Amino acid sequence: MKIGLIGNPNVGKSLIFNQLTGLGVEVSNYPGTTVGLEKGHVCYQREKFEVCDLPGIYSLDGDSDEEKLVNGMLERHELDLVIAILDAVHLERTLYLFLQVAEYGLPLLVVLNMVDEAEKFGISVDSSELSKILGCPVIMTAAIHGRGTDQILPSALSSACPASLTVDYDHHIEAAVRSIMGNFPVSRPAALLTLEGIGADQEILDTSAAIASEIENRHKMSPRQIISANRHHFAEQIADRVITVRQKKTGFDLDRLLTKGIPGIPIMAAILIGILLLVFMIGSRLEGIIVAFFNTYLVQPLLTLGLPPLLQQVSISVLLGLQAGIGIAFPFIFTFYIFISLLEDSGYMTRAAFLADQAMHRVGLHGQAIIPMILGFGCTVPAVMSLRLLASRRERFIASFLVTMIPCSARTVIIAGVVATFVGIWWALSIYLIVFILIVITGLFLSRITPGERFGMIMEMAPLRAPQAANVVKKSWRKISEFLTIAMPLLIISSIILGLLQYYGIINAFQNFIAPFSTMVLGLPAYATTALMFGILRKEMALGALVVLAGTPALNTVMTQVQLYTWAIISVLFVPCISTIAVLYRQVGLKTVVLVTTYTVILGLAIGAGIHLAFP
Amino acid sequence: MESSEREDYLEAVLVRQLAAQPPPSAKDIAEDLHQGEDTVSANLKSLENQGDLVFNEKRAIILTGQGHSIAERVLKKHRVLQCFLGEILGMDDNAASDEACILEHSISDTAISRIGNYVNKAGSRRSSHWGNTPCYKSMTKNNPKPHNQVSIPGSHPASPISTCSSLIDAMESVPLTVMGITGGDHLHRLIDLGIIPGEVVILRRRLHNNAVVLQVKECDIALSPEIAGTILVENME
Repeated sequence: MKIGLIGNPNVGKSLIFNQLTGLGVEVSNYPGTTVGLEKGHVCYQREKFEVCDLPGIYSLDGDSDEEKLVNGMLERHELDLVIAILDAVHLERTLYLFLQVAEYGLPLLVVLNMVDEAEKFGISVDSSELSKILGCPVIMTAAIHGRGTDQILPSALSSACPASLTVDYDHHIEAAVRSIMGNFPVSRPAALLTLEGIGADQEILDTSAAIASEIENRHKMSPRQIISANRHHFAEQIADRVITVRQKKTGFDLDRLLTKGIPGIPIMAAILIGILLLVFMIGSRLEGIIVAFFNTYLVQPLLTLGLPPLLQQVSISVLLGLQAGIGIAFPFIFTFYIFISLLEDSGYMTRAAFLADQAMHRVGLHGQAIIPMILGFGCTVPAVMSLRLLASRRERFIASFLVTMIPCSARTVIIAGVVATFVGIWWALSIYLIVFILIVITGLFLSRITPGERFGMIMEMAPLRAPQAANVVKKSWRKISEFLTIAMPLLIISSIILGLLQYYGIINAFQNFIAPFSTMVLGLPAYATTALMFGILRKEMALGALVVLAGTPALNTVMTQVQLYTWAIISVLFVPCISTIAVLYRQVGLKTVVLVTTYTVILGLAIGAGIHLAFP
Repeated sequence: MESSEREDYLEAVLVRQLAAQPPPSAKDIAEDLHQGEDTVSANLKSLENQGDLVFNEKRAIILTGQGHSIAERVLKKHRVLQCFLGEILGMDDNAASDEACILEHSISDTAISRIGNYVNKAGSRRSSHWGNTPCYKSMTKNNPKPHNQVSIPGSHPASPISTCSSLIDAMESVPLTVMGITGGDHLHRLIDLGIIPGEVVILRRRLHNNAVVLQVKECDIALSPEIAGTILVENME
């Protein structure tokens, strides 16, 4: 038996899914956290049920992938039971989707979530009256506190039934639906959709289009507008009957500060810069401790063992790989994720997006694009995945360049480990500045030359909530463990390969090959350029490789400060890492990946050559 | 001079002004109202004495703040009534306009605002005018800024019955009725979120670049300036 969770974005579907299945699906306080279909299994009374967490949508008649996915599953009756999740605070708005879902005639259970928040606003919902009107069972939950969620499965299995209510559509719409259903074997909801021009069968669409234009001529509005106005009106009537508002929301509204130009924008800048600085400081402190621990207790004792040379090379490589993962990447990434989770859960992300709308316009993007950008400071991979929040191809194209250029935490490691340590903290920050200027220039340029529709921001502001410590830690841990399981083996394997290449002298051969270019154009020793190549696997590996190839962690003894600075800035800009390339390929296609990669390579080398020219 | 006559005169001047014509002379008004030039001149003189209008150096008529607000109020009533009689009750266009000319002087503000709301609701909920019928346009036409307005010390312009404008020009924190969306069907996300004609919304915040936060059905929705600009709203007060 297959159960689907359907609801608006940000009503708590993922949280309820987690509580039903015990799985860890990402929960955030901004719309659109669930990408595709999340599936899990749950056993109840010795029976096994499959539960699907469907992406949050506002209606079924849009053309986004999410809407098509949910619509398709309902149309093909792939679900045996639907759990429709409504938001008690925004009942009327969430009923709009419900009315549309109810038309598919599947057994339904209505879960009225966020009753705790509704209580805070003095809103109470008469659930038995609501159940009577809808004709299917309604249960009240506060999923964030786990209240009532244990009732979901038992109620769903014992009493779920198709809703008995029907929306009163305009009689011309009803007539049109009857006529379409009389001529073609389609369901009522599918017939309504074809009137709006949505469907797969061209013959039906043509017929519907003829009827639709007739209706449009008579009503001076399109069937889509009539249908949605009818549904909204119906939802409003239901909400009026079941909601009582005791007192209006009073008290201080934090949004008065957060969404105003002043002080909102300074607050946003302070939050973002503060997070970067804190990650930088906490990260380097932790890194120092862990790296020192590795050196004293693992690397040094290993060297004194006097193993055969090949074995020693391999085991040192394994240790260096582990050290790079746990000692370098982990402190930065984990710290960053803690802060990001706080931002996500508080609902601040959508405020930042609103405030950033104007700045983002300059580079051809919209406010929502700030979310991938901020995520990009942690790791480029989730940032690229969140590009689908953006409405148009044009925006996704531009943003995929900019997001790849943002210094992720692996690149922070390089900046901290090379420039801040050996050249100076202000020089390290100047790299950020240069990268930001390049990002802005790239954005300005791309927004001029990229064709395609400009689509503005229409974004629901997530309600402000105090983040739950448990959720923040759990989420950060989930992200970091994903990183550890995916990246660690890669790090260790590539570290071993690097060690073996060095052992068999292949690296020397490559170095001899690259040396003229390296010294002439970039002014770097050949091994430094070789180390850059390892940044393609994972950015911070470039640093690991540099240390190995230089033969000493005290890099300032073998390279000048200008060389270190040049090296760091090239590796920050140069080629996105292999995981980024893979995920970009999935999100925006081969052509864009090739363009992004070529652009960053040229940019990195050009900047490096430029510095060499200026400071020979 | 009767108050209905005064209103007719001021309305006639405003109509000319809205049509972006040069300030009318007494002769123009006489033509519009089908009256003798002498009568009109005398009446305009008495309106000048009441502080409703002034004559400029070319003897053309310019409304004062007081005159403008009276004229605007009457014109608004005229449009609402004409729309109601024509589109809802199905009267012939000319007959509806003539009838509206008579009713506009005696109908109360309350009654007119209820009729206005009814017409809007009928437009959004049941059928007919979503945003581009002639009637809809005449009811919700953007009130042009009263150019040529002369302020006279001691006269305070009364607030007009309604101010209809794009969301960008609307006032913060007061209830607004959505009148239409000019962007077309591709903005279906707006429809999903409940931003449809007839819906009462509140502008929560507008940044200096005209990005706005709109409260719709108890939810806050952030909109880019180019989207906010396509939403027409009317001040409900």
